Amino acid sequence: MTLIALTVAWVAFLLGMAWYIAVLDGLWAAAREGRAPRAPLANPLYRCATILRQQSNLTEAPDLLNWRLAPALYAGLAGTGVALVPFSSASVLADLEVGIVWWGAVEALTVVVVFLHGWSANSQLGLIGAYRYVAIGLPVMLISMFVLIAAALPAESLAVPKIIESQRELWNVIRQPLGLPLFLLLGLSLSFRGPFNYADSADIAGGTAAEVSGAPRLVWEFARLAMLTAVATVAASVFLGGYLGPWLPGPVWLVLKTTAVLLVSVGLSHQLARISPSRMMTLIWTVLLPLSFLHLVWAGVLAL
Amino acid sequence: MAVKLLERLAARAPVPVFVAMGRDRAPAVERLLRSADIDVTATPRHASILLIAGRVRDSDQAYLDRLHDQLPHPRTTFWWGDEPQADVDDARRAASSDDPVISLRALYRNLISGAHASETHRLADEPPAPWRGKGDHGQGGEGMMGGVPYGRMMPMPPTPDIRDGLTLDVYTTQIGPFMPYWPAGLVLEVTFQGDVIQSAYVVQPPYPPRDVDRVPFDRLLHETTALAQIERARAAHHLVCIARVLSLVGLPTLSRRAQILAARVRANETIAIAPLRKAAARSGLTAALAPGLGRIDDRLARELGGPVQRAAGHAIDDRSDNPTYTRLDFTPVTQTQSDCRARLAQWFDEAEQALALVSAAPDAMIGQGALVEAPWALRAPPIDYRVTELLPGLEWSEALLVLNSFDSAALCRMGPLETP
Repeated sequence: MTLIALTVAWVAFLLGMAWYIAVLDGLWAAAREGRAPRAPLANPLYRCATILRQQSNLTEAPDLLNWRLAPALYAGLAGTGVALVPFSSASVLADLEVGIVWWGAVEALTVVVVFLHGWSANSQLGLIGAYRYVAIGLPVMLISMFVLIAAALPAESLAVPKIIESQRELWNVIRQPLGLPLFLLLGLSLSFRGPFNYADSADIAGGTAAEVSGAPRLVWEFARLAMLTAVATVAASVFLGGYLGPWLPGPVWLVLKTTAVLLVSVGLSHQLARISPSRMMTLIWTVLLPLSFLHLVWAGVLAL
Repeated sequence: MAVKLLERLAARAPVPVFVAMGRDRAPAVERLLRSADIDVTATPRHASILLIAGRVRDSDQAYLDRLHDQLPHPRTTFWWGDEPQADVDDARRAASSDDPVISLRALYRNLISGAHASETHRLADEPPAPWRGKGDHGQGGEGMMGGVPYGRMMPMPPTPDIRDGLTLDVYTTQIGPFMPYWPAGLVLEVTFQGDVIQSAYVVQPPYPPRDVDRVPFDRLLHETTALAQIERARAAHHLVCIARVLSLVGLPTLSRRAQILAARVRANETIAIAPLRKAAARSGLTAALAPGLGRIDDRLARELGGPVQRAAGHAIDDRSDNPTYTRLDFTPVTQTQSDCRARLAQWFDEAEQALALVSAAPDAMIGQGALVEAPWALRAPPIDYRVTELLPGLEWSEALLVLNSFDSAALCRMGPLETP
C-alpha cells in the first residue's frame, strides 16, 4: 500500500513539476520579450496536444530501435533520480545505501542516451548536437561528482536519506557554499537549457530533436523537464535539507525547496547567453573543475 | 472522445509555423512575432504550416519540396507575398501588405479538425539510391568507411582535425537555403569533422537585401523622402540583424524582443533600443562572442563598405556629405576591432543613432536623388574574396555567428557561385 501511494506521489510529482517548469518558462519568456503571457497555465497543455496531434515521422535509414528508445530511457533516468529522494523521513521509493553512486550512473547514462538520440536519427544536425553534448556533458558530470562526494562527507554515507539527516543542524548550502551553484550548472547541462543547451539549440535546428515529431518528441520534451526536476529535487535534498523544516510537513518542504531551485534554474537558463562549445570546455576544465576540486578539499578539511 | 479533446486543446496552441524566407517581395516576417499566437519553429519537423514568405528562386524549388515533405501530418503550405499563386485558394495565402496571423490561425484550426486536408508528399517517399552496406540498416561494410552510401556524398578518409588533431569521421553535407538563423537563400556544401568545419563552398548565393528594407532607399531615387522613413528602415534592418545574433547565442527571448522592436519601428511606433542592449549585455552577450572571432582584414572591410567598414574604424558614410544630416551634426559612429563583436556593436550604435536622428528632426526631408548611406554593405563592384574562406577551423556555432555578423549585401558579394 505504501509502495503504491509512493509511486502515485512520484508520478504526480514528476508531472506537476514538469508543468510548473513549462509555466515558468512561458512567464519568463513573455517578461523578457516584453509582452503579456499567453494563457500561461494552460499553454503547456495546448502545446502537448499540438505535439501529440502530429504524426511521428521517420527519417531515411534511422536506427529506429534506439531512436524510439532514447526518449523513454531519458525519462526513465530522470524518474529514477527522483525516486532516490525521500519525501519524508519514512517515505522513499528507492532507499539505496549508494544513492549518490546511482545518481552518478544517471548522469553518465544521460550522456549516452542524448548521444544516441542525436545519432540514431541519421541526420547531420542531430549528430552535431550529439557530439557537442558529449564534449560538454562529460566534464560537467565530473564537477557534479566532486560536489556530491563533498556533500556525502559530513554524513559519512552515500545514501540520500542519511545526507539529509546530516543537515539537521546546518544545511550543506551554508557548510559548503560552492556546492549548490556548481550543481545547478549540472541541471542546465543534463536538461540542455540556456547557456548549456549544446544538444538541442536553434542554431542546429533543434539538434538531437531536429528530426523527431509526434509522441516521441513529447516524451523527449517531457524527459528534459523531468530531468531538470530530478536535479532540483536532488539539489533540494543534498544542499537544502530536503524534507527538513519547521511547522510544515516534510513533503511540503521538499516541494517548496524544489520549486525554489527550479525557479532559479529556469531564470538562469533564460538570462544567460551561451558561449561556443570549445570556450565552454576551456571554462569547465580550467576554472569550474579545479573550483569543484577545491570545494571537495574544503569539505574534507571541515569533516576531519 | 479523447481525439476530439486533443483536437480542441491543440487548436488553442500557438500555431507551429516553419518560415521559408524568400527574396524580393519578402514580407517583414518579424511582424508575425508580435503575436503570441505564432510559434516559429527551428525545424520543419516541429511545424504544421510551411510559410513561404516571398518569392523563391526556381533553383530553390527542389529544396522547398524536400522541406515540405519533412513536415509531419497534418500539414499545409501558406504563401505570404504578392506573387500570384493561381492554384492556391484564399485560405492559404495573404498579400505582403496583409497581416497573416488571423488567416494562419483559421487555417491551423481547420487543419487540426480535419476540415482542411493534410497535404501529400511532393516528392516520392523513397531513398535517392539504395544503400549498399551490410546489415539491417545498411550500416556495415568494408574498411574504415563502413558501407557505401551509393548515390550520396561519399564519406572521406579520416584526416587529422585542423583544430586539435582529434580524428573523427569526416562528412560532407549541404546546408541551406531555408535554415533558420541562416542567410536566406545561401546554400553551402560543408565538410565537417565533429562540429568543426574543414572546408566549405557556395552552392547557391544568398538573396540580396529584402524589399521591405530597400523601399525608402529606392524611393529616394525618384522622390523627396522623409529622413524619419530612411532612418526607421535602417534601425529596423539592424534590429533584425541583431535578433539573429541574439538567437544564436542562446537568447531566443531577447531575439524575439529585437524582432518585435523592428516590427514596431516599421509601424512608426516610438521605441527605445537601450533597454534591449542593456538586457543583452547583462546576459553576457559580449562574453558569448569570442574576441577576434570573424575578424577581417582592413582591405576587405574597405571593399565591403557600409557598417562592415565602419566597424573596422573607417568613418566613411554618405550621410556625412548630406546637408540635411550635417545640419543635425551627424558624425558616423565607428568601432575598431572589425570582428563579430565590433559589427554587432556597430549595428546597435547605428540603430540607436538612427532613432536619435528621427527624434531630433521628425519632419526633415531629403531631396530626390540625394546620396544617403544604405544600412548594408556596398553592392558592387565584384570582390575577390569568398565568405567560405572565413569558415575552416571554426565550430559550427562560431561559423554561424561569423556568417550572421555580415548583412545580406556583404554576404552576396562574398558568396557568388563557386565550384569545388
